[in-house]
Amino acid sequence: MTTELSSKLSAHVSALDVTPSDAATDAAQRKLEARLSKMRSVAIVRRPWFGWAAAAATGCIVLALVMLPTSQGIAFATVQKHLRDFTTLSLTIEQRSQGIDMPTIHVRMNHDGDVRSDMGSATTTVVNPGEHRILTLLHDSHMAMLTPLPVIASAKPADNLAWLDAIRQFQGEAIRLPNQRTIDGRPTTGWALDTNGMNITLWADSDGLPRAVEINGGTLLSQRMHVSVDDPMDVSVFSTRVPVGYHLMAPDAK
Amino acid sequence: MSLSLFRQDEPMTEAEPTDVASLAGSYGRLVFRAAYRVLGNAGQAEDVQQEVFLRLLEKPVGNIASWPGYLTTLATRLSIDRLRRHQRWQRLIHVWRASVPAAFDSTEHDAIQAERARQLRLALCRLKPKEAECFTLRHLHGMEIAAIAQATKLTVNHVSVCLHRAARALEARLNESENTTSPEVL
Repeated sequence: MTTELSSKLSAHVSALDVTPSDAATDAAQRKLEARLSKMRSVAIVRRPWFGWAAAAATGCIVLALVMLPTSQGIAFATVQKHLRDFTTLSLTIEQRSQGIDMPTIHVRMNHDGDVRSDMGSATTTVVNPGEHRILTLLHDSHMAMLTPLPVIASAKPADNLAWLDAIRQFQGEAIRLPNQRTIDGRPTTGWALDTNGMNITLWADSDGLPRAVEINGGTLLSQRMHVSVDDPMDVSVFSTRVPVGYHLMAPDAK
Repeated sequence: MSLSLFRQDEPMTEAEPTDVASLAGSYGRLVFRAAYRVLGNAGQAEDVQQEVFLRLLEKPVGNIASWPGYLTTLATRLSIDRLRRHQRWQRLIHVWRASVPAAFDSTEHDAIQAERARQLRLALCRLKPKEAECFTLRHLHGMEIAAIAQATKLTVNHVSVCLHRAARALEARLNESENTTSPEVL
């Protein structure tokens, strides 16, 4: 079976014969090679904890969703790589709902899959796959709860990377902001995004590292997220040992 | 009619590079141009180019008979995926318009070409993905049917059927859009 195109379709196909300039091609090649030269050619570390760290996952997904492929000097793939290859990641999420400040959420995680979420001064949750358990601390009542981490959490590593696919599938249009901001001593470029009724502003540095995210959902909820990648982090923050002064209770205790 | 992405200065035969950096050095430009032709936007093409090689880092593949064919196919697939997603978002038109070189606005011919390109991209992302992929590889990137079959792991007959169906569907789409009074916006 041969496929002869009509003159009309041929004309349309030839209209796509737009070759990028050599300068654009060379620039893309330089970015690609620079990016690859920084990469570790090792298998990506699987993170079996994502299903168990809703707050952390939400933070990451929200963070990544706003990193849209505008390629204004930073390719989306670069940012995706940062989110996959971090040694440590820290998110401080400030929320405001209907004009009222909500508790600040501080999420810290490392490449081993340990996640600690501090929700205001009331609650802390530590997910430690290495110790196969989750520690929940209620600070007001000094109560602690230990929950075993189900085996299935580490038995199906591929499922735990589903969030990455979700990010890859997300596309949209971001508008680059004219002004720069300095965050953590680094000049950053901002992008504004309007998606699903939310106004999102993202600030990333010249390496593609996300530094801050601001989310405004109108009067219902607004979030401001401060992001730190690969900062030193004491491993003790991920310990599931019950702190002194806390009473251990059973998971189903009332 | 077919157009070819391959240039004289790029290797057409494979030396089986053993690492992604070597592949990127040899075929990075090829991948960028393949993505650019489908997307018509340098920034988007950069994203696809990087995604192609990052995927290779994450999931190395072996037994590739033709790296140019494989990489062009992967770039095309990812680019069409992007077109389809953008079509859903109905926003890409702004990107395309912004990315059209200024010279394109200077003559009527160039304006017609730009409009044809827009219409064909829109029609492509409404095809079945495999048909759009085969059509793009054959008629935009100039790959032979056997090479397409090898790269897509389809039979030669299946590729031919995809090409036939794609051409027929595209003709219909283009006629449809021609008869539409108000241009559809991506």
